[in-house]
Amino acid sequence: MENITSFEWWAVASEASMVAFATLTLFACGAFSKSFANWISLFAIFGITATLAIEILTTAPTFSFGGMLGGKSTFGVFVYACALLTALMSFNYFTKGGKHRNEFFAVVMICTVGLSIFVRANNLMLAFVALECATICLYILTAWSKNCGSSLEASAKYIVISGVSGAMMLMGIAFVYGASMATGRDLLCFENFSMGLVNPIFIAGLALIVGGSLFKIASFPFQFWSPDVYQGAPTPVSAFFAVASKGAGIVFLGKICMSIDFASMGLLAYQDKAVLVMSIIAGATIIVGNLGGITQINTKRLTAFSGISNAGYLLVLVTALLKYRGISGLFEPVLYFYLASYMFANYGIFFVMNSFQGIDDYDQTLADYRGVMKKNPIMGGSLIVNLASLAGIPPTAGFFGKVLILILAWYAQLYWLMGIMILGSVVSIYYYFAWIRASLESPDGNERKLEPLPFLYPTILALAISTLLLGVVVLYKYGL
Amino acid sequence: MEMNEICKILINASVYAPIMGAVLLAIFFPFFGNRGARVVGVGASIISFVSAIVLWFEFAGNYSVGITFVSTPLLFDIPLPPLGVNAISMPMLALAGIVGLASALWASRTDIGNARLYFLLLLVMQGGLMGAFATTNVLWMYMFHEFALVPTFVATILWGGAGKRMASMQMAIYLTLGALVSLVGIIALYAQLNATDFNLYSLAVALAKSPLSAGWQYKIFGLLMFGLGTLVSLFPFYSWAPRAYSAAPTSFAMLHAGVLKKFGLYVLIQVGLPFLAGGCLDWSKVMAILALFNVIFIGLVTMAQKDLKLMISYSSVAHMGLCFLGIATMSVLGIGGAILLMFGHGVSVALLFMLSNAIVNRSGQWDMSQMGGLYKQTPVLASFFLAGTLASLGLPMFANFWGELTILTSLWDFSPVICALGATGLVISAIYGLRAFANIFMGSPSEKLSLKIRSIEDLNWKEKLSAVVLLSALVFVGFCPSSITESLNANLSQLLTTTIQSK
Repeated sequence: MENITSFEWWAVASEASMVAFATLTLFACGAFSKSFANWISLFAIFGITATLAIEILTTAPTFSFGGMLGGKSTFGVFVYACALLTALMSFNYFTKGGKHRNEFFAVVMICTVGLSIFVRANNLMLAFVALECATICLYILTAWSKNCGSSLEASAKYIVISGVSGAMMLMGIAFVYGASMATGRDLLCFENFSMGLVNPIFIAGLALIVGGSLFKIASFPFQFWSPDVYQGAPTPVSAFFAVASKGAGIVFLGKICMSIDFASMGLLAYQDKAVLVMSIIAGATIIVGNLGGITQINTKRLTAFSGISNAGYLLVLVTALLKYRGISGLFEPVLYFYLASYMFANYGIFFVMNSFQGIDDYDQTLADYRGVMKKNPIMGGSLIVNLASLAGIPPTAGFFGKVLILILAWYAQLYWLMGIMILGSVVSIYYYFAWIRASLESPDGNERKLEPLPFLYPTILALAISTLLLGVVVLYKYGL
Repeated sequence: MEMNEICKILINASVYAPIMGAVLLAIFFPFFGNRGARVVGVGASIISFVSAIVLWFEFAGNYSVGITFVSTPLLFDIPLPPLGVNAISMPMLALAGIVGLASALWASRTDIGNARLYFLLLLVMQGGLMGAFATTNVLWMYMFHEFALVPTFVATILWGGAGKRMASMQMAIYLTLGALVSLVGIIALYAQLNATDFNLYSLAVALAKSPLSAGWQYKIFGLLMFGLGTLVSLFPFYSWAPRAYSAAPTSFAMLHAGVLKKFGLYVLIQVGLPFLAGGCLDWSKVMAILALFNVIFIGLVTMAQKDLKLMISYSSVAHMGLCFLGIATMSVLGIGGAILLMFGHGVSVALLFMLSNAIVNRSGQWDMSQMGGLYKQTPVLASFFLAGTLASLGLPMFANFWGELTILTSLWDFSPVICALGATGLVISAIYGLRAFANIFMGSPSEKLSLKIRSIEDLNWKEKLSAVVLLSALVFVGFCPSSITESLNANLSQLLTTTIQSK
């Protein structure tokens, strides 16, 4: 008989530590006076770092908590790193006039735990609960600049859209649960997914769940919310949306695709249809993201469109896995490599974006970036390196990410999708290049002022250097 | 020490001297004045140049079939890209060294704002170029090519001339498209061969195990041809080139038009030919027809140009057509001729870009019809320009002559009609080249120019030096083409017999 003490509690050591630190931080905010605020911030940052260390050092069994929770993946490290970067970035946001820094840290920490559990969950119901936990934190974070109209607007939009996606997912889970009655198996668990494929209700449910996660990664046809939300949210939160939330969605999607094996059930016709649908979604996402980016001059909306097109590239990878299971061993390394490169590049850019004057950066345009390189070479250099990575120019990590996806797509024979991906990357050069050009040109005096925090320079440099070196290091590891 | 060992060191020096120079400038950026940057820049390119030339003579003296001077240097136990040269890459490496030195010398005299950054970018570009021709790993070839490409964009934005915003954007989009399409071709080759890595040797081993089907060869060669073709401005993907070259700062235009553009042709010969010979045969007619458009159509467009820099840019697009024609013949003579022409054209177009910049700076004019009579003031400039023009239109005694001659000879066997059409390109280039010379240097100066013609000075010694470097390379190969052709002949004969047998 299982009881509360027989669970493998050490399997969630990092999540538990994060929750403990978050609770203590919240408690300290109430208990101590304002003069201790900096110490509490330091404590919160220490908490996130300690959790990151615990996540790296500990291991977890493949299944724990009666099969509800799966084993660890690289995603834990990824998402805690995102939390750390977001927390560091927010120092600049709070110097510019944001309120309640320490509460902000606590909410980010809880949100991170939600995403981590969401990805680790081995049961759809637990995944949903964890996801909602993270989503509610995201509503709050989006509306953090509560005196700023755009922030509130973004939050309201996100609540509505995310509500729809949550409802879709829940409906899908209900279908899957219903299908279990017929098959007599607990289809909510990932390892039983393949057996459910014979049941049309299960497939309908799975389609709804996939639709729900497509919302999260902002892929076509559910991409329209992301430019508005990225634009309105405080910049550190936009960065968290762009990287952590999107990463969680794509890893979850990849996990679902790993679990369903059409061939073992003899359902190759279904597989062809699924591949077709995913290819269309991936292709359309790339096209919509890149074409949308062309006309943008607002930098935050531009990063949103760049995020949409990157979701498309990641979906190409997922489609490749769906089509050809022979690459399943390479899928995860490539996915996490791409996510890591995407994280370095995006945070690098958002750090610079956040350093401009003004509490909200929602109306920042490319013209504000004129002369960044001249005014502040550290910021400018990091911005250019990271933009080059997103544009896929060697030797940055983004280039290798794209090459690895292209190699796997070639193995899966997704030739048309590769073509769309290539054309999409070329189109994206247009807007990334316009940004790089703006930062290289000489200033004309009408730009917003840069107000960087010098103690963040090491972080910014580290991000740029990681972007430069990550790819080359991996190149040697794979011995290409 | 044995010569072979020395050569291995030299091949590393040729690639890493500019890169180290760039790293030095980047790390100690604040401590360098413009003067120090010039010393580092010119010093690194001299090392590159000398190493490349010594390698060339050593290779020409006792060449062997296949890749020699192979070395995989280690940096803290991490293997750097594998280096080595064969008969195809040797002339290209020498070309990169020669043009690199000339452009660094040129840059050292001009009064550019922020010379430190200029030399930093120039050294990155030169390192990329040397690496692209010296490495034996196809993925690294691609990466080195991009190293060389990116500084051009940045330099055009920072120091470019008229129309730089549009030109740099257009260049970025076209060249990235071309590079990515050829990257897919390279990935396809790698994945389809099931090779262990991207090294030429590993690809050859994989090919021996399981030959590619004719269908795959056709598809992959198509990808490479159009992708690399865009980089080489093959018709109809040429429209980036004229604008980009006339907007780019001179040193970068010299390196780009002279050396970087040859990269596409080089990969087509180095990678496309041994692994995808069947595909090349299938595509050869299409390639020949597109190349004829380059030669004739772009040739006619060149004749219509009034702007001096645009004319030279268009002429460089037109000459690429002849190189493609040489490759299309799939014969020792044609491909060897293409490589000779790549060398000759690279040097001569760099010379012309450099001199045209000198002319434009002195006269303050872009329009050739607004010049005239410069000969009296600048006899040295005029004679260098005439030599460059004569070289590029294929006069005997210059390297280009041998390239054009062998290509046209090989075309006769391929198709007499195409040979005849291709030969018209020579006539066209004679017309625009000589007319340009006449317009600029002969006759009497135009009204505008006559006001200041007295104050125009001839080339100074640094300009003369870089012109002499380029011209002597042209003349040397013109009188002694065997320094390239002997080893090339042996290599290509062996390559083509084996590939055509396996076909």
